[in-house]
Amino acid sequence: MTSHCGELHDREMPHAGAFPASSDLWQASSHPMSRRDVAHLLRRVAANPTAEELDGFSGQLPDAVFLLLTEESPRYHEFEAELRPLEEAAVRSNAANAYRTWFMWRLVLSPCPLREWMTVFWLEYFGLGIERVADLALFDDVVRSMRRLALGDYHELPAAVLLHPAFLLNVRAPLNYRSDPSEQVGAAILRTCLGYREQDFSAQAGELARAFSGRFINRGRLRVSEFERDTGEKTILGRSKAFEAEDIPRLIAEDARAASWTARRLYRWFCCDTRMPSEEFLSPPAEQLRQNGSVAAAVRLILSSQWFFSEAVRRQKLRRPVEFAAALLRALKGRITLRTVTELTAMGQDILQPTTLDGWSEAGNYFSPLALIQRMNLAAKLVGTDENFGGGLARGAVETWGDDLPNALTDLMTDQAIPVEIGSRWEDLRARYAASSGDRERVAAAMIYLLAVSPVFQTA
Amino acid sequence: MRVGAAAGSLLRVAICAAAVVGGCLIGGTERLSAAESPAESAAELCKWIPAEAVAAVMVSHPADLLRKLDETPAIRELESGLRLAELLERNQELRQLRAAVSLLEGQLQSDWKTILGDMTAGGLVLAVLPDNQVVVIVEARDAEVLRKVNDFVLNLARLDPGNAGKREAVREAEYRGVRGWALSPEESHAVIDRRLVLCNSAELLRRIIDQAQDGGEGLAGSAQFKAAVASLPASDIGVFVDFRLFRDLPQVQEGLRQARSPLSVLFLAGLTEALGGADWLALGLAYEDESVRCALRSGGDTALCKDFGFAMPASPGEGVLPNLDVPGRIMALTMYRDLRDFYARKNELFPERTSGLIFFENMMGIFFSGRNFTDEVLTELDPHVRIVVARQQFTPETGVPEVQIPALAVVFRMRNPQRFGPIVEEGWQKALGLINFVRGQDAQPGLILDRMEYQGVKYTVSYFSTVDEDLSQPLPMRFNFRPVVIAQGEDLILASSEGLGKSIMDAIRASADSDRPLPDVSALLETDLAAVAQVIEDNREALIRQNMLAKGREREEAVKEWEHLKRAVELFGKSVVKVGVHDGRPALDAKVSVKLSTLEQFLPAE
Repeated sequence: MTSHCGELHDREMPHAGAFPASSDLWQASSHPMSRRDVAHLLRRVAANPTAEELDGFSGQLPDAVFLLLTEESPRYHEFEAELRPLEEAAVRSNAANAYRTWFMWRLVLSPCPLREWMTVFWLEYFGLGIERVADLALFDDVVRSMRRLALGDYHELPAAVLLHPAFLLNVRAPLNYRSDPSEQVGAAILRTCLGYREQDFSAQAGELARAFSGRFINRGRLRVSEFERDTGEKTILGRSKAFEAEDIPRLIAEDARAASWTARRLYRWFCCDTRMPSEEFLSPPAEQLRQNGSVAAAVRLILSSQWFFSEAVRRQKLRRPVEFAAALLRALKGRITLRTVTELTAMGQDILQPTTLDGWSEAGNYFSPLALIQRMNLAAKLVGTDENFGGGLARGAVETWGDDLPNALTDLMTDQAIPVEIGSRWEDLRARYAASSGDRERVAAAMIYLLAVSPVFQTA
Repeated sequence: MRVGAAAGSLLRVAICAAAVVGGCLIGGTERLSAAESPAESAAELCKWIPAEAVAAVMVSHPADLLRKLDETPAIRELESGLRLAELLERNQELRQLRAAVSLLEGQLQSDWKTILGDMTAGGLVLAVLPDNQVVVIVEARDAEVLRKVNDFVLNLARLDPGNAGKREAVREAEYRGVRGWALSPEESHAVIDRRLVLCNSAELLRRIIDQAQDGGEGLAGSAQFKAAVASLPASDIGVFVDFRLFRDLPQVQEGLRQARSPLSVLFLAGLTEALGGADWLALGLAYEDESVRCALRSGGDTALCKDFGFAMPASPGEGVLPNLDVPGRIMALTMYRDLRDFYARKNELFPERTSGLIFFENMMGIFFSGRNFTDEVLTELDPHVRIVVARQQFTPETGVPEVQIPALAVVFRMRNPQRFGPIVEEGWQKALGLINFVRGQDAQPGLILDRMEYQGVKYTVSYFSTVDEDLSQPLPMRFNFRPVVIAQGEDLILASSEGLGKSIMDAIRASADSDRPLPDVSALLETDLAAVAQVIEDNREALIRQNMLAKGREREEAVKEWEHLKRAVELFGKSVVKVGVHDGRPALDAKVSVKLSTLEQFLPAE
């Protein structure tokens, strides 16, 4: 592809030549969605569907469902009104673990899940981490901006993040003297917003850093020193001028490479993280970003497309620990607790701390033998009766679905299919469930666990 | 539930119910008369218990205990409300038990409380022997009542449909002229004159019969047992434990080892050592006026307590000062602790020098400008130490912290106030300076030091500035702290909040005339859970949030759980724990107020 100084860095994005072949596949799907289609869509935008979503969305067109998913309904405002004071209290008390837990509540319980998961997308995109920022109030502020703009103006979003004090703290650059510009600022921008590899940074990292000189973060506040500003000419993204920090987000938003890079990351987030299509194929969503400046339009294009609903895209994503837990809890209306969130962090995915500026580890790295054991243990805890992990998942499922539980579970968790490797065990449990009266909860817990640790549930 | 097993359970449950609260909550309200009881005490029953028993629980007058509980207004209120009875009706096993009891009442033409009172009129003993052998002996008013109850239980077992087809639903045998029955392999019983003997093995029953017929003192003749019984004040329930077997258990040793940190040694002062070297333990429990009294005594080598002279009043009549009474008091502890002696013996008391202790010594060296901490600092304090924890009250004008933490104060008595007061003041200011320095390194706000005056006494206060705070919003947790150091006469007050410091100044002035030591008391702890309930109320939102976080509950559920916690705390009132000396060893007496009237709140709504 055309670039200013080298190829996009593809740490997590293998190319697959001309796959897929035709951009026509971006055309909106005109078929009403089946339950399987709804499950596929909801797995990508909300970790997993709920029973109500499966019932309510099937038979509708993807485009119509997209509008419903992005609608800020009265229920969403009620949810915000209840949750926000809890987050504010966590910020006031500087209780990062409590804040993490409320964030997980959002992912599982929000009536507008697409917005919450898009916030996670941008968190990973910019590599913003709660520990790196080390100031909960600032972190909360930038996360709120990202949530507000998660499906909003593509041009406004980089400004909201790159000019925020949290960005400089995140890259360990609180003091930016003219005589000693922090090159890591430029490196972070090139890497996260434009997809450059380190060897291709050239002089641009230094030039970008110069633009940020004069910006100091002191006790959580941004102070701009006119004396320390570097007012000289800088060459950034092929343009030369006396750019200052305030100009950089605009330069990025107007840059074709940045739009292309963002489209690739959106594709990977929603469609597939095992094979990447060509740059040409991704040009329609990239154009939506660059020309229309609308994140929502780009996401809508992807999620409504014929390609998104093709077999080549289904079950092509692996669930990382947070997605795994959120999927299980969302499907079965489980409770989110501090211990669950702490356990996820111990499993290598702190929901508010992408491992590096490039994001969390590749999904495949969460499937080592040890990680699988951790995943199975977490599943056992979530379906068990320990109140510290919510407890009552199985009891709630039995109360909700009664005799129909086996069907409801496969409907929500495996697209009605029973993986061959668990077939006989599943049949045995199903028979026991139908026959049992007293120990139904125990059998239900075994059934949920079996599906939760099955290979198919590890994919989205 | 099989009737055979149920009958066995019934017998056991009925006996135990006489000794504890449960029994009197189920049915009628007829009074039992202790005056009609035979005069023999439960200790007399211990003559039938083999001497190697490791523990025994004795209830001399179960009927008296039942009567006391029965006379409690709250219990009557509960019974008249009938909600508990309805609750019991929902449990299948309890329903069966209730049906069996009704049948028994019909057959004996009496109510169950009278039957139970008659069955246990002479006392009750439950003893545990090595190899998990358990025996219960009760003495009835007369042999007839035992015969009737026994016949009833045996007939019930024989009629049990669950035992149909079995050759021996009830096994029966005779040993040395005594007839015994077994309703299950884990149950054997016999009626010997007015006594019912219930064992968990036939072999033990035979041993009890041997003991009864051969005579002898059994457990009652053991010197340990005699000393334990003699050590206790009058109690409704007495517990004896032969601790020689338990004290060497690895778990007990580990527990005692963990209690040897400097602070534990200072506060517990010999209690754990007394326990670790005890040959026996005795516990007495009594219930009166909605309060549970408890006395704990131990026996054994007193030499083990020699290291704890720092906590023993130096002369007869010497002891702790009365606790300080301040508004919103949650807890008050007054101790007799010679801190100089304590610290001088640190090498013997806690030979494993931890990094924490080394750090402490270094810091004390800095704060007190190189003075010897033992001989130039602690020696200036006399052994009367008082600690107070109290609820804080905040006003919207000064701001209310998000989480409200109770304030803590320590009050020392100085030997030379004129000389030592300024030394402490200097050390205090250095400590705050250090705290400010460290907080500054983390870009955290520091404490401002100021001098104030209250009732003619100048003191140092330090506080966090609220200049950058919005007082209409909950404040960060640091605003719980406004530390003061006050030297008022010979009293040195170190408090985490200025309000508590001032309240203590008032309390000391008010009690100046009655401030005499409590003789032979080395520590006195008083708590008031009503104030804790108030703190729970103050922190309502924080506790609800914590519950939502920890359990993932929705707000409504978390609110209910919070209400439950508050009611649980309100169940208890004031309590007092006193540590004194008995035969050269620490002895502990406690009194806990239990408001049974609030029990009803714990019953589920209809």
